[in-house]
Amino acid sequence: MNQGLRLKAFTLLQREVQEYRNSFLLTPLVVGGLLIFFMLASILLVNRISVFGASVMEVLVDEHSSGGLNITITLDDNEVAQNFIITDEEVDEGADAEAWNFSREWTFSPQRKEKLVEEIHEHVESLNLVLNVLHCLFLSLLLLVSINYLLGTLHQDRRDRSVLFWKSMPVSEWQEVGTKMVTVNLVIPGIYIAVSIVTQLAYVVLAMLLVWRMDMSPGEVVLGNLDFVSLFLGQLGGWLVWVLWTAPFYAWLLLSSAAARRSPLMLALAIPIALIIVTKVFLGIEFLSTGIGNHIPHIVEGDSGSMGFYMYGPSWLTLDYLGMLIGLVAAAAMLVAAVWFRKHRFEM
Amino acid sequence: METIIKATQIKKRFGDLHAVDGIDLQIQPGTVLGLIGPNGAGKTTLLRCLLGLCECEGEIEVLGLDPRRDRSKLLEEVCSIADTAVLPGWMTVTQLLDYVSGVHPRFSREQAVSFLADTEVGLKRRVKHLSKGMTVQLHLALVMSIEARLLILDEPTLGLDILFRKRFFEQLLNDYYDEQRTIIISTHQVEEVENILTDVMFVNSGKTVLSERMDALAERYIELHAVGAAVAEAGALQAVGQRTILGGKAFIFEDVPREKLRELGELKTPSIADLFVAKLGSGS
Repeated sequence: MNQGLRLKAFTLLQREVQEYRNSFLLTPLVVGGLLIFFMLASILLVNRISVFGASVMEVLVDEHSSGGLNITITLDDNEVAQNFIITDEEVDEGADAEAWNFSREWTFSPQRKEKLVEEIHEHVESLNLVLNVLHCLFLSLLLLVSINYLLGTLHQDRRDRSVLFWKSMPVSEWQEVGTKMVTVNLVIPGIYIAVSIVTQLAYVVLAMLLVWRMDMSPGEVVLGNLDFVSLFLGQLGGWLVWVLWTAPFYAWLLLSSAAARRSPLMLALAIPIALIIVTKVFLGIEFLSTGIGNHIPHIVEGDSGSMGFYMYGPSWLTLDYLGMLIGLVAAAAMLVAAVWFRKHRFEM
Repeated sequence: METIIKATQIKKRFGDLHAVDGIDLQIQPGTVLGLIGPNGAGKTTLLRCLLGLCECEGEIEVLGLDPRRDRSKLLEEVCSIADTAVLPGWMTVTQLLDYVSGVHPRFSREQAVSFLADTEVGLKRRVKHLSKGMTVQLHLALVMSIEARLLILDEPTLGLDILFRKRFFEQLLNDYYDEQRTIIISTHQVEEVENILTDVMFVNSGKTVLSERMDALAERYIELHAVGAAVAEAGALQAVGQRTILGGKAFIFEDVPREKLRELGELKTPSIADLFVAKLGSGS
């Protein structure tokens, strides 16, 4: 690609980002910022609670352990330490009345620290899952933003007639439609996934901070229980399959945007629904409705509650490659149609 | 010398309506053509056919290219203002300059900024916050900064006040036009473009009513102001059109010897507006 074409491609993409700056840039940054803020706030809150001493945090973490609270009380008169262990049962039934004498100096210390660390190990093994949930939140937002973008991008400029200006520039309809597809498949996910990864890393750092406040080793407890390579490879691989699998869905939204005279959303919904009703209900053919349904992002039951396709990484072996190929061919046909509408039916 | 536009029998139908009905065009470099016609005459459709913005019948060659096939390549050397207020409102002026700089290989950003420096259009302002006049100034600054061989303006000053309109055409003539550049302007404000045209074309119902060079127009058409008894005598001749004036009538004649008319009253060259009314009146 020569320099002129590179500059043109960059300019066309830049234009898309400028037009949808709020949903492409501000939304993920604000959401990421809020998530980090809440995590930080919760750590600071825990820190404030620990005015009694850092060990309180350990007790809080250990609240579900069966060992109970270990409270050492120093008697005022003769400074003889007396040890009380309050178990869950005792709390329920009511502890010894002497244990509740607060006129004495008393400190908390957690019981059986080794056991606590083991339990934390068990908890943080699910840290990958927590980070994937965060990623899933960003992907859900990405899906909404992508749908909104695709439905509006070839419609709004026809409504305000600025299409006449775009068409006075030496940019072909293929370049226009191609730019939209690159934007929705590469630029927006690139931004969202980058912000998601930064947020996940920030969570890891904050979790390490929390663990460090608890006098435990952040490297052992947090990093030792995270597999960054499989986590991020899974997320990036999920993006690749997402792009290939949702291509016909995105192309259909773009075609609706290019073709609709009034509401692209209505057009995008009406035709597939009509097709499903006609083929499934009246003709008894399942193939089309199943195909359409498969390519629309949806909640996948029984897959750790994941939404859509392969949000946590692709299952390459079980992938329906034929379905994907048919979808890609359909997507190509719909893009040709979108270009035709952009060229010949751009006026409302 | 290369012909800028060669078109024969351009036809475009919308259902039963013949928007353009067999128009021929032959335009040389350095031409400033005024495309004049009433509403719905087919001016915009004709210009869109030339820009490759709509499918049509007939042979069209603009700068040696067929606009229907090579629109994107053609637009590197052809500029257009399709209508007033079509610039994207969400963009700032700087973003607009960035965009045109990025996609148009013949655009000079420095020149556009220098044109804008003489206006009240601030670079940080959003297009939607500009007045209609300023938006047109911005659009004109953009197209004038493109080193194009053909500029097509479709009603570029519609809705602007007279000061903006005058400034628009003055700037177009002083800062843009040279003998290698060709301009096509469609407009209703005939009297305001009359002085800058080299050629004129009247269009009505998708057909060419008149197509002439401006200097030939003065030779072929003559206006006679007749008063008193001369009115009846002039009325007996084959006038293209006539209208009432103070104390008599004004007649416009086509290809009638001046000697024959001179004794009937005062002779003058008809204005484009009067000729337009006369020709379209006779046509209807």
